[in-house]
Amino acid sequence: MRGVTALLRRELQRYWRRRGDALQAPLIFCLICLLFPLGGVPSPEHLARYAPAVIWAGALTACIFGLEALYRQEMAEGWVDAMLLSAWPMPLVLFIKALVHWLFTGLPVVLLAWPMSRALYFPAEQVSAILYGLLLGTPVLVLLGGIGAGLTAGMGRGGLLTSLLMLPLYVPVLIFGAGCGVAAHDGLPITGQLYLLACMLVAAMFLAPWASAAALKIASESS
Amino acid sequence: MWLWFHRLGSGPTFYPFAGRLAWLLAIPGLLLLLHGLYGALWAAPVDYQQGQGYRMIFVHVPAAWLSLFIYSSMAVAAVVALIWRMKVAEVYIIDAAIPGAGFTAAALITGMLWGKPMWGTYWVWDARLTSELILLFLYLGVLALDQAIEDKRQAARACALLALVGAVNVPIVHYSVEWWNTLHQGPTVSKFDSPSMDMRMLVPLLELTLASTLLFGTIVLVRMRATLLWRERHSRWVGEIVEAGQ
Repeated sequence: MRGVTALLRRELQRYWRRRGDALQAPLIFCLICLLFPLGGVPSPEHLARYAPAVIWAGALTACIFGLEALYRQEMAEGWVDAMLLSAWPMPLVLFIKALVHWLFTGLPVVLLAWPMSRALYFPAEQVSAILYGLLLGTPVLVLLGGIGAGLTAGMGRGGLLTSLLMLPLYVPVLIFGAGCGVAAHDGLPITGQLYLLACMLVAAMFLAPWASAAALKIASESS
Repeated sequence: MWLWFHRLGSGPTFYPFAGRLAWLLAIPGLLLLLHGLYGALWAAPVDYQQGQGYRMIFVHVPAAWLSLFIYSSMAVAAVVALIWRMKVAEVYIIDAAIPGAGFTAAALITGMLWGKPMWGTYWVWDARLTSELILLFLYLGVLALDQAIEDKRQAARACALLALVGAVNVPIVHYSVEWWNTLHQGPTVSKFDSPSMDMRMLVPLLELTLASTLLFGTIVLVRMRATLLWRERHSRWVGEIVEAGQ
């Protein structure tokens, strides 16, 4: 347990020291959300209709960009190899890393989604539906993304490849996450979508760290 | 049995075995293909509603079946590759992914060509179509990952893990897409809505599906033989085969 807190503190410090880098992902999220009105018809009814899709497209992109920072430096510094050699259970280590990564890249996106939804004229009383969807969905994106980031960790520049590998796998999260917003916009209940997202989150929390550990192990074999 | 299974996993045993098996699959596959094509293109009657256009199904269904069959077989091979580190299973994943991506693309393209005259549009955001498109991207992801990693054994293991993760995801993608689709659109056109097929159409369809599965087996075995030769080009058994000129 002391090890867990030590690791948690190390991760928090790492991200805090480079908080400027961590801010890039939420900034990209805002930019993407603001590009859509410029590229389309900026009328309130159109924007409100597409707001969930825009917000989620932004969240997916921001998450994918953020994944770069997940293991790349650790891999280069030899931290991954040291961890693999140590008695630490790798899935637990990666779970903690994913958690801290989400705190610094996912949570800001969830918080920024509130002003962004309003900027897209999404009805104020329904915004919570988008936020709940993101709150349950973005950790799934980070956890799943850990697998892709692990597979490409050994490469010089695998960012583009990570998105190619991961985006198809993000489809279910996108459907139910954005589905929350769409259903709320139409005045329908959103509990079904939220339950399914929660289900995915539990499954991802349980399974994804194991898959990420296997991926990192494969990636570290060459070096 | 177990010993045989393990021996089969190594190049020198697999290579001649795959050569024989490829012929064993190719001969019935070709015969079935010819007979099925005859049945499909000449013997089967014209559809009363769709005219000759329905004959696209004889390409479309085998391709769509193979796109799913190959991905599932890759997932099985991935388990074998990750647990037992069997070289042959590692080679299978990549060598099956290329025809797999081809069949997926063929299923999509034939479906679109059929959809234009029948549905009046090339593309509908239907659950089946969308999940097939995502499957194509999963195949391309496996291929891209293989290309990106220099060390081929490591690449194969990475692809195995990706194929496995993808295989867990495919049913989730399929059902979520179906759910999304039914939420957003009215009743969609489904090709299985029509009453059951005439036997003169169904038999060639099944024959062609079986034939293309057998011929896929041949193709993948030939590819695997070539890949094994190249990967183990410095080993002695390859040298012996090359010298013997087989």
